[in-house]
Amino acid sequence: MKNKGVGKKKSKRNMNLLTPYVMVTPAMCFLIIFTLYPMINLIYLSFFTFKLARPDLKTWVGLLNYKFLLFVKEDFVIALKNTAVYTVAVVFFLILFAVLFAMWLEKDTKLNSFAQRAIFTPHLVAMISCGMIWSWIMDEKGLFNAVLSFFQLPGLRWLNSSATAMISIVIVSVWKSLGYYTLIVISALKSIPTEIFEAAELDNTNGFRKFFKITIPMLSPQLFFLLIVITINSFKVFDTVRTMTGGGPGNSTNVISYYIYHYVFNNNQMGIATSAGVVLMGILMIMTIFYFKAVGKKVYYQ
Amino acid sequence: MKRRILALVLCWIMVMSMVMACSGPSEKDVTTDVTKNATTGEEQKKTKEVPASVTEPITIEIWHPRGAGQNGDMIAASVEEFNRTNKFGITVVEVFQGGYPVTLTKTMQAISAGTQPALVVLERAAGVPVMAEQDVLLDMTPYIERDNFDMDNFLQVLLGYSYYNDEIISLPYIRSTPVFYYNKSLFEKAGYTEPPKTFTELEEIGKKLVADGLCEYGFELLNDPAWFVQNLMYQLGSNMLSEDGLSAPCLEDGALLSVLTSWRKWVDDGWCAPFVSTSAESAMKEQFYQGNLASFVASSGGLANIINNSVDFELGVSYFPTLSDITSAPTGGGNIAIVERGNDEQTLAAAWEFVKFLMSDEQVALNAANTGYLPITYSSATSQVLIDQWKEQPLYKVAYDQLEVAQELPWSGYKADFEELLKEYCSYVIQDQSQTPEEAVEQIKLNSYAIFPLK
Amino acid sequence: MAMNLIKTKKRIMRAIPAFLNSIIKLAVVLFILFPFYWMIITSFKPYAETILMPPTFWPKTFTLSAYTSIFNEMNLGIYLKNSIIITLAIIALQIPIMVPAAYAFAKYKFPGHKLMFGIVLVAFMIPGQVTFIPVYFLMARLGILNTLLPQILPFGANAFGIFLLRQNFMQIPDEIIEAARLDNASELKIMFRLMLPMSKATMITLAMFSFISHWNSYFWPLVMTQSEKVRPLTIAIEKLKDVELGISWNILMAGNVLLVFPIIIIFMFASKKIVRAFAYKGMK
Repeated sequence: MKNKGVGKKKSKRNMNLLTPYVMVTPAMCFLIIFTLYPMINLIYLSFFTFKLARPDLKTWVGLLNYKFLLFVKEDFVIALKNTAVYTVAVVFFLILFAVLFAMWLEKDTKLNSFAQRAIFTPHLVAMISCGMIWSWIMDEKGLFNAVLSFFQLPGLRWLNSSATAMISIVIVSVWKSLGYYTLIVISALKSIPTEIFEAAELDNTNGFRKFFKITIPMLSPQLFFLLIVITINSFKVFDTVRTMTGGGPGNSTNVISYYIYHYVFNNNQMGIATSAGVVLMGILMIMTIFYFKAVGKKVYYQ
Repeated sequence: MKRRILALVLCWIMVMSMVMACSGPSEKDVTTDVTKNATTGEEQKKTKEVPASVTEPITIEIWHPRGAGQNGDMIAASVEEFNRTNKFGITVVEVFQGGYPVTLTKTMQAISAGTQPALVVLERAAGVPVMAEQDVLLDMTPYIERDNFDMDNFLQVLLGYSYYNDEIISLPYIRSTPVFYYNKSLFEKAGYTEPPKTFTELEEIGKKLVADGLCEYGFELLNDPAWFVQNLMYQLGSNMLSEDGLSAPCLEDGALLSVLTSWRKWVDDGWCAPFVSTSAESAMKEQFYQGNLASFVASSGGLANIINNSVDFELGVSYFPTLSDITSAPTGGGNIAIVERGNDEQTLAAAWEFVKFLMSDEQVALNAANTGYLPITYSSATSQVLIDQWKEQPLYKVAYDQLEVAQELPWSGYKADFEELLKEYCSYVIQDQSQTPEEAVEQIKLNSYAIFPLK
Repeated sequence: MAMNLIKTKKRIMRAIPAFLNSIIKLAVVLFILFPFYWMIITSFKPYAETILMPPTFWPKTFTLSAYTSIFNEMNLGIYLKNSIIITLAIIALQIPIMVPAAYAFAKYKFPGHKLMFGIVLVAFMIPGQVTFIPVYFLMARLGILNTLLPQILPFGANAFGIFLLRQNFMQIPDEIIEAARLDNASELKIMFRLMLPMSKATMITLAMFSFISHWNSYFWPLVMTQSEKVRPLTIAIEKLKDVELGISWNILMAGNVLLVFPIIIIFMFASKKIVRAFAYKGMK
């Protein structure tokens, strides 16, 4: 550092280069300790069979757990499929309704502000009571079927038939989170500069064009965000299934997180549970990469 | 230079977090404890040494699934009484941990982490074998011999899961048996004054009740195959598991097919209700209280509650009906066990004192009288508490009497898996009605090859 | 005269769709609110009435027995205290961890940022069912199992929060930050005096989200707590479902009403501010 002036600038630049690392460190430490470490531990354990109380007696089995999980047992693949179906359905309906409701409830009226607050309330209620209330509503003699019969339509078996159980769970999940995501979209709508809409008005653009060419692109950061968040949360769905169906009828609503839980608590088969967890992790990582490469490009930032 | 130092520091922080996190349970520590205990045990076996008594005041924990209400109140009362009256200065702390599966998992997790309790209440068939096979439970035989504890006092049929490799590793505690609950008033309206002894009789009653419009369903069977389906197959002379626990005879001799076919026929004929997805047992009982369901089978442990809620009609309780001329009933519920691994001698001795206390006549009688669980010892049945209760409310005695025809499932390491399989397919056949009994049995057979060891 | 009539007619014609719109809106909202309403009235019914089919939409017998049962059965005070401490501590812990991390990811392109952000995302995706056993061991090893820490520490880095905040920070124009830097403001100051106030809505959203999800969290406390003194309110409700006695709907709903009650209070007081904060975002 011969020249003091240059040295000072250089050290400031050095500090600048380090600052992001310093800022990120606390978060990384927590994530490493509480998420990464368990994940690595899980990968390690998945090559063994062991019983939970005696990890000291674990025996190496290599890829046996995976062979068993993917090729011998049928229920894991079913659980994967169910999770995929659930996720796609929830993502689709949640984003669709969130955007529709947001546009419907956007204006500043008393009714709208009441409505916004009202549709948010399901989010506040613990899943356990949601599950119970909805199982009553979807009972074969419950509210939904009563409404259907009012319209001369046959009642459905909702949670008691493998054909409709998954849809029922999707309905409950959408109901629960709708208000929250609607509010996010509303705040995003409000942040679109009004000048753009005014310009469109002057050009006499019709509603649909306005929606697809202006609203959606301007909302794209939030929509992308919602897409990722809802997908991830859908993969973690657990309480709904545990409360309402226990994975049934048969395996029709068995989803990954419930599958893992079930094999730990009810079957005490750590080999299956750990290998299932690792497969889940693999899928999630692939999905993240996919999301960022494929979808991330289409997002338009102001 | 500074930059590199700072970068190194940051890396060090991140690495240290990983290192700290990576230190799992110190396997060495736990192994040493076990070696200590193992040595003591071996010594005892060699020299027939009498196990030590409690010498100083000590606090121990019991983990259990007895939730709020009469169930939880009972164990709290037992603990309080023991803490007050025991002359060793032992303080027991009872901690509710969740249902049976959660309690089991948390206990196993705690054992491997070194934070285990002294005592645990485990489901007899789903919990005790799992723990016993991991060699973590205390063999209570030395204590039993030292204190002349009478094992013959137990109702022998309840001891199925107490022995493992000639060791006594658990004792019955909160045991129950399923009984037949029925709406006496409805039955009488249809002209039946006696409860059915066989399913043929039940079918007749059920069909008449539905045909007369007296109720929506005459009967419901829940999806608890290790209890109900197993009992029905036993009545047909077969069983869910073989004596050695290594195979499922019901798959080969047609018993499973027969039971499923009958059950499905009852549902198809419209007088037997299929079970539902959410809180099936509660939903079923609610229909019963409403008068929509005329009868069902369920644990005797819920009797107190059922009596309370059967307000609009007269409640009847009788034996589990039979498919043949063999009357039988399974038993269920929880046993109490002492965790050996990781606990020192004093803790084990104190735990044993509490177990002894719980097995006293008064405690057993109170446990049964206040909740509907079975009195597990012969002598307790002569206690005044129970005699009074049975006189006042004879329904409570039915479960106890039914123990004469009780049967126990053979011990098997494959029970949990096979039960899962049965549950899944019963669900397809009875609830979803998307498979026929034949298809289901075929599927179960195929899948069971992955469960049981090959012959 | 005729002109006035025509004008009124036109006004009515225009008003009808708006009127219908409002009716439908109200209907939808009431439908969405219905389960919530159902939970509340069930908690005030006696058990026998809760199982009636067809059900009663207003309690035939209005009773507080469910609530008195709960208050008699369990010591709610401890659970409530724990729930409050845990949720507030989590939020307090998350802010100093999340804000700098989000800022770094939003405004800096440092080597390894893609990898680290990937870690954040993957961490976000892992359900608690997968991680609880090793974390339990860690807590046992650290000897803190009998404290509230196992329910607080693992949630310090909220991946959702980092993600949302990053999104938000990315929309703040770089020029403002550059200007502040030229004024010799430290990064710390920039973060807390400049960017946070502009992200009020997001911060409130995050705090709310954190509060709600941890207040209602059930699985993690269930497997992490072995003693009553560190258990939150949600576990009390688990206790209400006994294995032999089954579920008493009215008691269960009463438990859930008690669980949701504090959140509703906060929400009612804060919602005006929240809506205003959301609206503020529109004005740049």
